[in-house]
Amino acid sequence: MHTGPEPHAVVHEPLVEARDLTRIWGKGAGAQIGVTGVDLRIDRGELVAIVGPSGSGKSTLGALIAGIDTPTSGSLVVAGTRIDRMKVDQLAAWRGANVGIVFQDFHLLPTLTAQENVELAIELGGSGAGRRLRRRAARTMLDRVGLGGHHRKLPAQMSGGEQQRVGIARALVTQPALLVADEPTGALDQANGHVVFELLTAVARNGTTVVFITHDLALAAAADRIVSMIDGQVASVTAQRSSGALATGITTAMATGVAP
Amino acid sequence: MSGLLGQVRRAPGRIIASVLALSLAIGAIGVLAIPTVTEGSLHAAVERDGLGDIIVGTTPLDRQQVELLRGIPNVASVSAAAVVAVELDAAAGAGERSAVDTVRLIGLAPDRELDLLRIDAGRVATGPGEVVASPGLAEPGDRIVAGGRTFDVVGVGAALLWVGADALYGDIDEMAALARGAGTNHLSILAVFDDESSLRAIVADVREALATDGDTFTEFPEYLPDGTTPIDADIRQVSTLIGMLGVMAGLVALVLLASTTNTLITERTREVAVMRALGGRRRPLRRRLRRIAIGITAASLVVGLPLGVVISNVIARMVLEEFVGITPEVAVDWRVLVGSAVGALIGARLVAARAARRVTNAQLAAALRDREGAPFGASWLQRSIAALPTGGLISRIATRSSLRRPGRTVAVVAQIAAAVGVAFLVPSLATSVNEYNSAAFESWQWEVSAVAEDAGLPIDAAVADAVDGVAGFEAGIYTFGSIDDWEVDAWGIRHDTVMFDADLRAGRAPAPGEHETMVSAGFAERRGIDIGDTIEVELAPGTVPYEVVGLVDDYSRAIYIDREILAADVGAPGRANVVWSLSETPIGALIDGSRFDLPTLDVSTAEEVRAESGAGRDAIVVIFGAIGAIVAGVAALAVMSSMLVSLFERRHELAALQSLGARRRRLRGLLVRELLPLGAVGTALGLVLGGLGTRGIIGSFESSNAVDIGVVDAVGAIPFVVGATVLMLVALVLVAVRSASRRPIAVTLRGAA
Repeated sequence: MHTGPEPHAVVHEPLVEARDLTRIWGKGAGAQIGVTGVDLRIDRGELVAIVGPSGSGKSTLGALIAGIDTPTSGSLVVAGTRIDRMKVDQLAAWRGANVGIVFQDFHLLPTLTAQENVELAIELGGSGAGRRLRRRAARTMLDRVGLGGHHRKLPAQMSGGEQQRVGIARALVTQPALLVADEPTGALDQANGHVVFELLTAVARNGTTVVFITHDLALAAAADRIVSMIDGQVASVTAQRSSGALATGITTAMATGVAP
Repeated sequence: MSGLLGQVRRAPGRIIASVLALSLAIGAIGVLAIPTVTEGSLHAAVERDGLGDIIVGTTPLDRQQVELLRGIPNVASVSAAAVVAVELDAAAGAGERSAVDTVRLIGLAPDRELDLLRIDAGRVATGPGEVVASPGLAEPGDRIVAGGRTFDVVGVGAALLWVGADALYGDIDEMAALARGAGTNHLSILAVFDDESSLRAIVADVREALATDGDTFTEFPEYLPDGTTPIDADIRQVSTLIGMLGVMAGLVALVLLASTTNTLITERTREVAVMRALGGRRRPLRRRLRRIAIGITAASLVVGLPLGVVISNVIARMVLEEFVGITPEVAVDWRVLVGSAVGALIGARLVAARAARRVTNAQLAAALRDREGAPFGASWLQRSIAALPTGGLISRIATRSSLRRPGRTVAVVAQIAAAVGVAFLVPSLATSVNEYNSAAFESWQWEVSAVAEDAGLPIDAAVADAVDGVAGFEAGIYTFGSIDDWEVDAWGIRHDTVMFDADLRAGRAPAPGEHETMVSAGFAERRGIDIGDTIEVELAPGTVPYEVVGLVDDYSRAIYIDREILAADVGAPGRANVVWSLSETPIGALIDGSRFDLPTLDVSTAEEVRAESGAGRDAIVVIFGAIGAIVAGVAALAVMSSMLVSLFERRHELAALQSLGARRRRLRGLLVRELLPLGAVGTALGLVLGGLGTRGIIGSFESSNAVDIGVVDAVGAIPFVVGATVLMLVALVLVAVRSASRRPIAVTLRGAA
């Protein structure tokens, strides 16, 4: 059972501001709605959980916030930049500098070692750090996620939990303002899932805004706020510190079929 | 079928690209059918038009002599003709239509069994004064004046033996009267024979029979056994080259099939693992996987086989129209058709079986984890390479990705090598043939050559002497002979000739009045002929021994004999059939036609002869260029198909890189770093293979023709070949990155999950 994060400082300054955010694929009768009319604000330093049943649009919302998908309409400002109208390369540069992404399936580069995978994020992030600095930062980050002795291992030589920790190290090494984690523990066993989640909450404690998408209400309960999604829309947004509101959020989530 | 449709639904772009590329490759195998299609068309024409087994020019013969020849053992049929070259009076009637100066008058007996006239328009000539004109020369209803006589053109057509020549076919007696010596001077003989040596025995009998009346052959007999045609040998040579390109196309098709099949099967590793985990047995799973490859191949055959028939027929038509002047009907080589279909299906089955075995034998746990069936780090080599910090991170990804799938990498390199190899081979062949043609002319110093159009040595001794008497002019002999069944050019030149500057490799020129000869060095080398040897040369009237005194580097298969000796040996002492001139002064101005009985001469400048030779060469180059372009195109398509499949497989990796902040130029940089080394290795390998291939083909031509040709690599083509390869790879990179960046990263990554 996760005990939740220790209290940490939330700066009441918006890091993510979504207005009437809509993502639809295709047109006409065959159109597929990802999210529609989403209004959402996430403050700096918040730990936010997005929950909802399969197909509710939570991953789509996460992808939009992370800048790996672009909305069909609406506006999206993240870290002071309006990203919904950015071109491909601008968005890539923005992502490299501002966002860390943790995927359920890790998506490590299979031909790079753990350390190289982490170094790659620094290189692509455009910090301009030299090779030696990158290497030191990557090792430090791998040490922080408990993979001190694994930096030369290839993804194929690591377990799922280890790979995910490399994924987290990669996401954090650029010290992004925002960390988006899509089902970060979904592919892991309970023990590994616990370790990974602890890492994420630790990141949040250090002031990084963390948005994580999950089915696991026990994990969601550890968040500052829970955003419940149903049919592509935000059904409720609840804050953890109000126990009544949290109960409402959890009830909404349960009603929508999300297992606790 | 449903499995294939399922595959198409799954990845329509890739499957359609693979099917198209494979179809083209299978279609390109159709070039193997060209020889059969060509020869089949030719032989059908031979059968239809009645071509003899032995064709030979003779001194004038009367009907009785010809009749007697029919009694020679194993002679099934003899048809005589009167053939004479005359000047065409262009100012009269239809002659204005023609740009030709001379025309061949051919008199054919109406009851002949051979050399049948094929009428395209109008009717056959039925008596004196009527002629059938060769296509393009005149139209029915025209009146034409040739050799001082007026003829009414009643039809248009040609006999196969003279197809392509400007000719008027008419009454045999009328034409015989115009021929020198007033008789028929051409024989077509249909023989009963077992092999070419028995055919030669018949020729000896005919020669002997003619000799009893003091007659002889005026030209070296042409042997066309079993319905072959004069250009069969050329077509066989051309076919050899075409066949080699066809084999290359087949190999490319096989590599393409292997890589496509491998990809389609390998990418189902996890799916197969799931089925195995659920209790699926390996054998039925393998069968299902094999069906994918066989389905794709079958679909490719549906498009590829008809395409092959079209390709073979188009090229066969080009060959026949260019070299024979006939337009063949559509023909199909069923052996090639069935062979390529069976070969492709068996190839697909074998390749698929291997891939299916690998996929179904993969360790279950690993296969379930790995999406693409190709984890990096499985082998010690990959792990060792991963330990080497080679270059920047992007370079490392590029290098290791190539090593991740060594089979694919080898296939891509092989395909690039095949494309580059063919792209280099074709211009190298063209350059070599070009240089060979130039080299073959190099020893000849004349500016103008006038060759008698009629067989034998029609320039009489008085004319030859008159020509020799003028500075810068020289009479000579150009005829054919045979050494050990190898046909050779036999040149009769004056011992003090200034027209031929022999590039002697060894020995000396023949002494005047001696039975001595210089021999082409390349031919001598291949036939084991040395200075001091006596060679038996079969000439038109019979076999004559000559002592070899010199070896000449002339890039030909020729012998050079003192003109007086050769004239006597062909039964026409003092006579000649060529006049050479060092200047462009017209030979007509030199020789007063009123004083001498001049034969019709075909006058050409050296430049014209080179251009004519160049035109033939250009036609060959165009034909091989077309085939080469098909094969190179197929190989290029195969490379593109393989690379696109490969890049498609890595779309998740590219998306992951983008999610980390990689801009498009980074992705382009990665792919360029990955592809260019493969392109460089493939190009280098292709250039080596192209060079070796050129040497192999030229070598085979040299040995099958016993002649020096020499190889000249088309070095000038290398920048173009390299440039085209780089451009193709860069275009691939641009397409791949464009398509990768078009799709939202989230969607691509979700697809991976």
